[in-house]
Amino acid sequence: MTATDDRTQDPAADPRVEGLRHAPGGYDPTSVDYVADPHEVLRQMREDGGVHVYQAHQGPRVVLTRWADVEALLRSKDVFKDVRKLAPDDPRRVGVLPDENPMASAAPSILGLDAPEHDRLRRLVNRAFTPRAVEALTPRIEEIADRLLDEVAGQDEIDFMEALAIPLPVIVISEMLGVDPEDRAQFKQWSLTMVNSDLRPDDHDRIRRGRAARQAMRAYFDRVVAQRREAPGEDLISALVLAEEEGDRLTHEETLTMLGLLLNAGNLTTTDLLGNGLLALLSHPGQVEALRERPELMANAVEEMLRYTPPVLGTGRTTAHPQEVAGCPVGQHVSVSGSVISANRDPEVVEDPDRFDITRDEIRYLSFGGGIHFCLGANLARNEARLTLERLFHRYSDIRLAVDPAQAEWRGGGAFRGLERLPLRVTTRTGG
Amino acid sequence: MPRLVVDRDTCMSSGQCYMVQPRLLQPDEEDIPVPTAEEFPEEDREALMDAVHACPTGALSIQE
Repeated sequence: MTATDDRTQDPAADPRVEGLRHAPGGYDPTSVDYVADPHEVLRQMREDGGVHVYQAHQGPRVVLTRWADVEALLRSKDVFKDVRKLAPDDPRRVGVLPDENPMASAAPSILGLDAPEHDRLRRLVNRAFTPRAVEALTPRIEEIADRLLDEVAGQDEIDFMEALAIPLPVIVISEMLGVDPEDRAQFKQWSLTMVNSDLRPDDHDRIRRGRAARQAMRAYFDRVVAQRREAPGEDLISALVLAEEEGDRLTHEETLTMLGLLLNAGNLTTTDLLGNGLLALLSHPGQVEALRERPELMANAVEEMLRYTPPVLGTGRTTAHPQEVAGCPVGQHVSVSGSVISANRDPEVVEDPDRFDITRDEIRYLSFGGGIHFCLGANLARNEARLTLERLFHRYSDIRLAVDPAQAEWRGGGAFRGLERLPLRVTTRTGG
Repeated sequence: MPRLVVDRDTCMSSGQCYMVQPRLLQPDEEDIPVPTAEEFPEEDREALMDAVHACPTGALSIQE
């Protein structure tokens, strides 16, 4: 049966989600139109109870759109992420087994584990991402941003994605891991190939390419880990190798999975935070003016960017047993998705949520998720975004969009929301 | 007067609380936050709530 056939089935006919309201037709996370402008349909859903069901590729999926319900889902101990807990014939396992899906590997990553296994692995890498550790990277991140800006010096039109948003996060995470930043083009390609294949579980060509990319990346890390075992350094790979050798704290397979995850997760999302955030900022000339007058607002501006235009649309869990989800009865092993982009605009929590305002007082959002899976790289992402934009605004006395915001090219599909390109018209600051 | 309680088992060391309210909490050597005072004055209540909200795992609570 093809995915198209699946979608014509009535999701609410499944007894595990009986009685739940259908999501409106405009709710389609796989379509570029939805990704470009999801806010109107999400507002309708929040006002229509905030709990809906739709037919995803692999069965019915409940989607939550109100802040309180999304936050409760993320913190709930009655849901799980580890697909190995599903029945052997469950279609959601297909596609996450190593042979089927390039993002998967013999050892699940912390994204696909529950407590206590998740916690053991996360603690091993946590130290590299604490506020203190990330703050120490500040001068180096500024240097990288300046060097990337040097590479486009003299041009009065630049693609922000290609010039800064794409390369900077890869260089930073490569240096943290201790791999050669010169390999970054390769990393980016592996990363994108894997994510793309993950987005289209029905496209066998993409799956094949994704699998090849995963194998290539695995072989690469296998080599680097062997080198670090011989000659450890101060980097994150050496720290993991040390943990591996100190006994049963980390298996070799777990090390490889962790490295793949750190590289991938450190890539696309920060790239998209930068792209989406700058697009929002430049679409509001009054806010740019406020920032020019008060450059110290940049940290707050990044918080508002995270709330207003998050790089991840939502995140999912699976019910461990029959239970009430947001007040509605839902059966066992039902996929439930929390729409983070919707929660961030819930007027119950955020005043005047559709207004982009970098001077807001307390900025609340769920863009880094919540509960034990709260983004490991949150502090790093914030810092990278702030420093990159600071250096950009320092370099150019004038920055304008070279496209109409309504014509921005969004990448479609899956849980991610980001731009293909962000062309800017820039004027270099003179005399300093 | 309000007291800030940290559930060390629930804490994931994300550092969000002491990033938003460094005056009220500081990390120990395991990167788990420790309140900077036994009790806080009433006028700190809003700042304490900020820290509680910032925690992604709900590891912070206010006790009277």
